[in-house]
Amino acid sequence: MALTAQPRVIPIDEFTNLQKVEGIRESLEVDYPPIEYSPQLYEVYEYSQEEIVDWARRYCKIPWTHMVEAGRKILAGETLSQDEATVQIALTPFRVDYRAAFHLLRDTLGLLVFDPANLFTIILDSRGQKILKAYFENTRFNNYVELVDIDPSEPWLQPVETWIREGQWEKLRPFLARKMQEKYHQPVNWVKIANLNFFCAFKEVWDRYETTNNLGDYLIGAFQAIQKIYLHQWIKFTPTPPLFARLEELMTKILDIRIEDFAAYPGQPPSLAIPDQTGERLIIGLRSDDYAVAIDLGGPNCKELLLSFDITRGCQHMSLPALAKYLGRQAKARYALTVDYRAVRAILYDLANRPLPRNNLAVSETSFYDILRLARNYRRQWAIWPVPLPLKGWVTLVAKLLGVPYGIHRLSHWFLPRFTHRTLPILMGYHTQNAIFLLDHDRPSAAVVIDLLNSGLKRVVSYPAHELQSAFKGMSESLDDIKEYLHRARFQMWDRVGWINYSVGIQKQLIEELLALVLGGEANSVLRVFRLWNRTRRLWQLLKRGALALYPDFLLARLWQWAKKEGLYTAAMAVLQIAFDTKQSRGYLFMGTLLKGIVAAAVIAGLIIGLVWWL
Amino acid sequence: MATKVAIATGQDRIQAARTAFECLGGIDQWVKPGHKVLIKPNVMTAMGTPTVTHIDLIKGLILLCREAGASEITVAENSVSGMSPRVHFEYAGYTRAIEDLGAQVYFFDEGEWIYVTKPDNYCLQDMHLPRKLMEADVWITVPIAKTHESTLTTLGIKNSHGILPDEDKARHHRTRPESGSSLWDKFVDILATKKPDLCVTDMYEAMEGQGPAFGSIVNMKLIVASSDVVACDAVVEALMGFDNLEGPLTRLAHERGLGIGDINQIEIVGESLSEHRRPFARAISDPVINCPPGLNILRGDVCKGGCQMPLRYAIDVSNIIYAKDHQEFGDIYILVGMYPPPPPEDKFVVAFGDCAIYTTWHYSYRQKPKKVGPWFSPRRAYVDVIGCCPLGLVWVHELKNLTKGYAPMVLMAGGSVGAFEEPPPNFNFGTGVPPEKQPRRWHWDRKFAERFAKEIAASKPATYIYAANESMKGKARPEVARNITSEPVYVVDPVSRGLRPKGGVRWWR
Repeated sequence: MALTAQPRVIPIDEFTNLQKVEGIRESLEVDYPPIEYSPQLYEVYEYSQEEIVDWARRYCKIPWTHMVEAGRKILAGETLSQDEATVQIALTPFRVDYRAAFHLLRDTLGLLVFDPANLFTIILDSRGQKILKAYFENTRFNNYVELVDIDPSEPWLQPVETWIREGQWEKLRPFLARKMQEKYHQPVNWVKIANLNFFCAFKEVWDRYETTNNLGDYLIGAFQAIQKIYLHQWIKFTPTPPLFARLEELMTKILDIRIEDFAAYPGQPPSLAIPDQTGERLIIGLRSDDYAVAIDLGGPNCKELLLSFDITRGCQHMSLPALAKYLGRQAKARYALTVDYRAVRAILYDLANRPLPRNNLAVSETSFYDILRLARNYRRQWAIWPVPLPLKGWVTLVAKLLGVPYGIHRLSHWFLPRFTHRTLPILMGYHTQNAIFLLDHDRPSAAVVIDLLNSGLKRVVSYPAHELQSAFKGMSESLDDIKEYLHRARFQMWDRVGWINYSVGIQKQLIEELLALVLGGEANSVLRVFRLWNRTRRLWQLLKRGALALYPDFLLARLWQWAKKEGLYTAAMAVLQIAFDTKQSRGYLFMGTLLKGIVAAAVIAGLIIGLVWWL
Repeated sequence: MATKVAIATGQDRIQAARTAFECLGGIDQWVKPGHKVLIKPNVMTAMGTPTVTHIDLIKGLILLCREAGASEITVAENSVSGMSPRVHFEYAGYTRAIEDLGAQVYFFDEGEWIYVTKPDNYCLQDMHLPRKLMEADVWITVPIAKTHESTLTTLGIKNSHGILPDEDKARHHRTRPESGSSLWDKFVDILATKKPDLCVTDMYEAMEGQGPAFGSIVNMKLIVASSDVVACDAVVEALMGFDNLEGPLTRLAHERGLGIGDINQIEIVGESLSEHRRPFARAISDPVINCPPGLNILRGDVCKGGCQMPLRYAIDVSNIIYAKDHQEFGDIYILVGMYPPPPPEDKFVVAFGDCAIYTTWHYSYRQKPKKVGPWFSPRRAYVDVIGCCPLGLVWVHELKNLTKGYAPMVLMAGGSVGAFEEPPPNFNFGTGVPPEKQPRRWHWDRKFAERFAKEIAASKPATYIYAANESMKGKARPEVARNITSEPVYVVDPVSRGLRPKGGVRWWR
């Protein structure tokens, strides 16, 4: 479908009814002057009201109604056909199998918003003055099962319109809850008020997507649309769900992250020549007490997000590794990752309920702690198939016998977050700006400036890569030369974005090679390890040619020199000792008792004989 | 006319520095066409802002000086504890950036020195000053505002310590009035010998708490400038929430008439002081406070500005890294100051500073040391951190070698130190200091050292205070001293001559 109307970019001063936006712009000028923000953030649309209402009906209301109907039938005990179960997620091109989504919503919706999540939806015109549509959405078991269309001309909605116009949001929910209780004997826990511009933002993205049919474009466009919607407050919830409020508080008061800082400049995202892995997919399985569902993330045009419930029926009692193997084989996936959904719920629950850390250092540290804690619970809270070599049990056993301090279950989750978050600010600076350049030989494809405060993310801003063409022009493929050009680039950016403490240049070929390494699956089997040689050699050559360059790299270079002087083995052992909790041990073969040594030698001999026999 | 101090803010440091000098009436009052300008920032370590002066402020000053017609602009820094400033500049990438701005980078430790005497100074009556500095027409000192655990704050006056060579920095780095040493007076002595023409303090992002290296960032968005470094420091201290004349260096300099340190006698231009004033958390100077579990400090008579200071740094680093080593390696006992109580037997010991080494030589940890390492190559489990005060980091290497394979964090810390400091085999911070200038007589008088040690053994027997020795708590153990089988033999003067035998610092055998 062709665009019916192009967005018109207008100066901020002409923008009406947007004091808040002006306020944001003003604060930007005070606090972050160097970056010129994309004017796209302040655009309005020239779609006609009828056109937008029609579009919203087709791409939002109809898929939503379909989903509500599926939910109602499941709760009524009816058997859904595949067509009935496959529903489109409103405003997106993705489809899910609602038989699987039903369970996820049942477990999560109450945590994300309210329990029960009964909702009253109001659609306003683009000026935010008049109610165009109103719906009451009723839930059972945290699934929407009823969508009641309410006539906007109902006299009892008049005060609602007045309150919206006057911004008296707090009066909406009690009033509407009382009315819905009277009419339908159901409670209303929250009210959603959407401006018609909300749909305009998504329509723009959708139109572009229909032209290009590229999901990557759609995702970037959707992010930009959400930015606009957030900045202009084209959608509002009253009362704000606790998790949303918590996230907003976390972002604005503690992390000092502002969504407008994530400015994306117009232009196509850099494309990567990902090796052709047609038909290969990544499956993520989520298992809880009484169900298991699978998310399909395979291929560039995959739109079936949630696999049919049938694929996981009866799998809820499988162990996570067994489930990963089953899913991987059933779906013929390259990788299958399974996660205990109860762990995810626990993290969400913590996020919504535990006291907020006092600063962004603590936020970052706590998040890292959570990630490491999840990682060390391999096989208990997550599993992967095929199992990469470093996670295989026999590798850990051999490491233990030889005294190498290694084992995913012994990951030092209590020490690493504190260590990294206290050391990095001291070494790099408490407040640093770092630039990452994605390079295609001597042409920058993308540039991003990341502002870190106390090791926590403060803001991320993309920098127009085309402005850096001259800085990198003529760069040869040698590490020293690339560092020189990285210096030039940061010097060029100094006036505009401030001092860049560290610049990182990554060649596109390196990412492609790494992706090929992961997707190739050589690191999953001891039999294929020998095939790794060519890839490793290519990677090493790329690195030697400066495919990954850091400037200034003084500390790394000196530490590398020191490690070589100290002995690479000693240095590597020290790093492993830091990363893994292992009491001082030289392994059973070295320092243990005679008996342990004999047993260990026998086990290793047995493994070798077994391997030889197998080969 | 009252001394003027400008407080300025701006969208960045460059703009704020420009505003500050506009408030003072323009930098051309000091920088004339054809002048040679030397900018001395505080880049004394390989760390980022706010530990070191931000390069944006250096850039702002270079631009201002160039506009004023300066013929030569030099950004200069000096070594600290034997660590070259070249390393720190390379680490931060400052060298190329400053050169690209049209200024030159100069390192005092690679240049010539001029010997200067000033007999009326309180303790540092002679010193070496860089020729480059003495030849400059205008010297701009550019500190960054930080708290400091020995001097409350480290600002313009303290930044002048960075113009001395390491040998002179080592002198009087203690507070022992009986031996004529006072660290605070020493800093003011340097100011009395050579005063900067301008002081521009980077307070855009300052440091509070455990300064000068391990504190927290405070967003102030201010640049403070003045031609009187004492007044500038006084205003910055006021902005940091400290009382008038509370900073010891400001107070001493004010009392000695080297500048105006009384905030009531200073004219403040630009931003309002009261509006921007906020209380800064102070640095903890006591090494025992906030010490990580597993590190046990056995404190004797420690002098402030002496062992207390580098030990506090070590504790601050340990707060980040020691938890891991504690799990892997176990407890460590650190002896510091004169006559510290003895550690429990069979423990790993660090004797921190000359006082601790010389007053505990007869303790059991030294006579019958715990052994670490494999059975075929046992190593004695104590480390001597030599120096008064021990500013050098060579002991980290020794500790690392001793605990290799057991304490990964110490190994990594040794690696970090090794990344910046490549100590020669006989390296010591005091290398090159004439023996007679060593602070303690035992450094250069062998007979005195032997007698001193014997007398201590006789008069100060070890007294246990630990639960592990509950039966002996509070009792002396003279038999430990009586059982000494070998007489101490003074091997060589390692500090001044650098003839330390290979394999570690051994003062006695």
